[in-house]
Amino acid sequence: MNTGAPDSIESLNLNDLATLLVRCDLTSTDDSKQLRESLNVALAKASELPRVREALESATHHLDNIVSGAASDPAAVFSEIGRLIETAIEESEGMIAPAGNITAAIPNPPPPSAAVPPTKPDPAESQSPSAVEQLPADADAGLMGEFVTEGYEYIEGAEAALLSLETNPDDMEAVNTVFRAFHTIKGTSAFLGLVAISELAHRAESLLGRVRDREIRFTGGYADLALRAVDILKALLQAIQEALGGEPLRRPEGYGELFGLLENPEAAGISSETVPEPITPLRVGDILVAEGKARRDEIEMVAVDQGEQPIGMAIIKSETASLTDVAHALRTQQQIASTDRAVDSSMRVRTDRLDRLIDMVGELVIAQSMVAQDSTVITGGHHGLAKKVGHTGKIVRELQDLSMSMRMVPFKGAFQKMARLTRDLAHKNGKQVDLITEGEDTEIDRNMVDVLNDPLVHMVRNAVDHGIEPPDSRREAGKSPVGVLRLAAYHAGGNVVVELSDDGRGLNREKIIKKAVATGVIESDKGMSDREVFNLIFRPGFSTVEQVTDVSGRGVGMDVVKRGIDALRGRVEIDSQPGRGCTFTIRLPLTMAITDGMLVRVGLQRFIIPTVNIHLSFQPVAGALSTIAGRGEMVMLRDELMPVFRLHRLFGIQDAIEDATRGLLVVIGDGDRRCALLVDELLGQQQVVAKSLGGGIGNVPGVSGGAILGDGRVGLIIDAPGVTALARQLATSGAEYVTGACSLA
Amino acid sequence: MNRTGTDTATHNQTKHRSAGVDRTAGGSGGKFLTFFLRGEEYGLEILKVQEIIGMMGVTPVPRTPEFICGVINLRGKVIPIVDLRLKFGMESVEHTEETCIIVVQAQGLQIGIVVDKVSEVLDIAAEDIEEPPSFGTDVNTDYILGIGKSEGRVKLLLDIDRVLSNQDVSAISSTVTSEPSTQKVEETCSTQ
Repeated sequence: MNTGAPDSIESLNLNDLATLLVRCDLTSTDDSKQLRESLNVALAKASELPRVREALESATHHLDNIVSGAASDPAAVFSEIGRLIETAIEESEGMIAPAGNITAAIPNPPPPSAAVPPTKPDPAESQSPSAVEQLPADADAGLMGEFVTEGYEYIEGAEAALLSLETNPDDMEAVNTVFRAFHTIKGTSAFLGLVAISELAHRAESLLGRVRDREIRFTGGYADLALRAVDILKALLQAIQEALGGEPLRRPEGYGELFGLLENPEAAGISSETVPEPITPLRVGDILVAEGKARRDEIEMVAVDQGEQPIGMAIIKSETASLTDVAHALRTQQQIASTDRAVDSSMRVRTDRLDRLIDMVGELVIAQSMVAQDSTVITGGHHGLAKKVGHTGKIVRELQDLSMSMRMVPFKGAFQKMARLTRDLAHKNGKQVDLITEGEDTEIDRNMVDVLNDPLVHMVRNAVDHGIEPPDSRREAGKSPVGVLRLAAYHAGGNVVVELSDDGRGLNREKIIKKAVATGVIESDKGMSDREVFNLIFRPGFSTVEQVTDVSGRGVGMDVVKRGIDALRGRVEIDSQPGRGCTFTIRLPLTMAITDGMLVRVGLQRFIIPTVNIHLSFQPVAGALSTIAGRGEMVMLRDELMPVFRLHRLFGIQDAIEDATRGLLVVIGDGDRRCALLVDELLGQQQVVAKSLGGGIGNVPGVSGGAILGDGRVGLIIDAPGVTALARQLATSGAEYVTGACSLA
Repeated sequence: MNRTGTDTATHNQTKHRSAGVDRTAGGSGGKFLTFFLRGEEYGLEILKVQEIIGMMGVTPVPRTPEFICGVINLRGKVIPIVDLRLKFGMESVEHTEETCIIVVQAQGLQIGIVVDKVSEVLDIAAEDIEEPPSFGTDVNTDYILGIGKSEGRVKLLLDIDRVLSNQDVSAISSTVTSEPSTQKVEETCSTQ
């Protein structure tokens, strides 16, 4: 335990020495060394006090014995040192001025023995701060921005903890998490001069402080109060973010009310179940009592007038227990605490730097494969070289895996937001809903989580608002009054799958068909499978709900879901059984950073067509091709007639194959927009890192970006919908083809 | 980064130390990277130049103006390449050993420009730079910073931001998106 090292060893006095001893780990040479140094300093200071000096010298001697291994029973010698220091303290009492701040030597006073948190509101603060506020004149936008980001993180953590408290109100670790969140926000905002936030956070902290001290239980009204405080704080953070953009800094609605409530919740009739002074197993005193080293009433006496100093010191001074016993108890306490604190350490890195790193690693992989495929390496004679190149390849691939994993985040955060949403929505609708989450640790590309958030929100809203019935109807249907919403994420077949299922009433096929026919989306449901019918709800503006609520029913929701998932190159499927519930299954690629593509050649140029856009490719027979009105070319494939577009004409490429029967037709697009692109040949499948073409070029129709190919040159990625649109535009306007490509090839 | 440029720059600095002051005072003097285009010498402000690379494989981008050669892979970054000859309406020529790409920072973007030959880095004092002459209304001289005189030769100093100005960029997108029919070019492709 060398974490307790004070900044300056010279400032040590005997009390600090005792603390140091208490925290000292016998087996650590560092600690022993530090103790030894402190003893030396104390010896030098105590030169005027012979009896103190004597005791200290003896202690030093014992310590040396421990360090050199001469002591047969280190523990016994250690207690002897403790006794000697105690003697020294007693001897010096009254001669050396007491330490100004003993607690300073212990950077992390263990919570249970720490001073009482500010539970009583300061009368000076009892008035709500004025409603108009300005950002402090000397506000540093950078600092503020960081504060907002950090604040959101704490709030997110606090929300998760508050929710876990819902089910387990005695979870002290969760209480501490929330407390810390409020506390940190309070501290930083006060530092930045953000009065509204710091005062609210202060009061919320006080509330949590009372929970932590077991003065009140975290249930009922108190839980709602804490959740509201989190909401308002979040709104305040948002207000600051907007204020940084030049907007006036507004207090969110309900700020004043909540501020008043927090001051004295009981006065506002918020239910309290005050528990009498409870027993915390973590307290030093309790450990001592449990071990039979001290009597409870004595410890409590000490605790009452411990004042500013840590309880351990107070106990030692009052001679309720010996230093060794206290040390032992403190160590036990720390062991318990440290097992709770084993958290992965992490640091924040700017996303653009990370993206650049991942890009560079991607290029490294390509560059390495260029080396590996170089003829000097491949064509024998250089066994040593080939071996080294192979070894580099392994490292590079591992590096790539690692860099990709850096951008992966677990679903946990997204799911927690849904938990909160479900709780609020159910509350509002008078329904009872349990959200069960599975696979929270499944990882997904960070950029995708953000995009996925909106679809998830709409799906959860839909499920709670329309899917799950009110408790009464559920009872009538013979179901439990509490609806179950299941949100699960898992990996399957190279995809990430997110499933949201409810046990509500399910989709109503007849109602959807009726609505679809009424709005002219379909003529009849003839030949439509359930799945096809259900997919109709993804159409914009489609809603079967008669009443529009403020939650859902405007018919925009499912459209958003579909668009969000399309943007992620994912698929969504619906399964529904009347009266049993409905399941949405979303399949997403693992990452957006890499595009699976088909490398095709047209003339001398190569293009990448994303595999997800390709239905199939085939070599047409002469009879299947026909020309309509001398211009539009069509091809017949399995009784389906589709237009043929020649990529080389669209892009003005020379030297390409003109005879379609010698080239290859690649079928892209969906439904009535399906068409066949003529290319010279397929060169194979390839994974590429999609990049923008650089700002100078702007949008090129039919091209979505570029990618570095295996030989280091840039290949253009075909934007399938763009190419189709371009071809149609050209066909209707009568322009046959356009040159534009410059003569450099 | 621009190893060639910096070395020459340091070399020149010792020769014309006084000129460095002029840049701040007069605003138009300073160091220029000079290059050749159809036998004429041009200059670019050195601060706009990022690096000089040899000619490499350019991937043409369809449906862009003729002067945009395409894109290249600059150590993992895709950047567009402009042929300055075509941009200035000169005839295109075969690339030689001396053909170079100068990577410039123009309007916050990295763009490569193809030139016939890179010459040197010159310190030109403000008093040696003359206003661009007026050729009448037909000739647009907006993109010329001035005419620099050095060792008895004349250099056209370019305002690269204007040369590769936004108008060009927007011109590109408008030609390809708005009215494709006006883009109709003579049929070189055999009819089906």
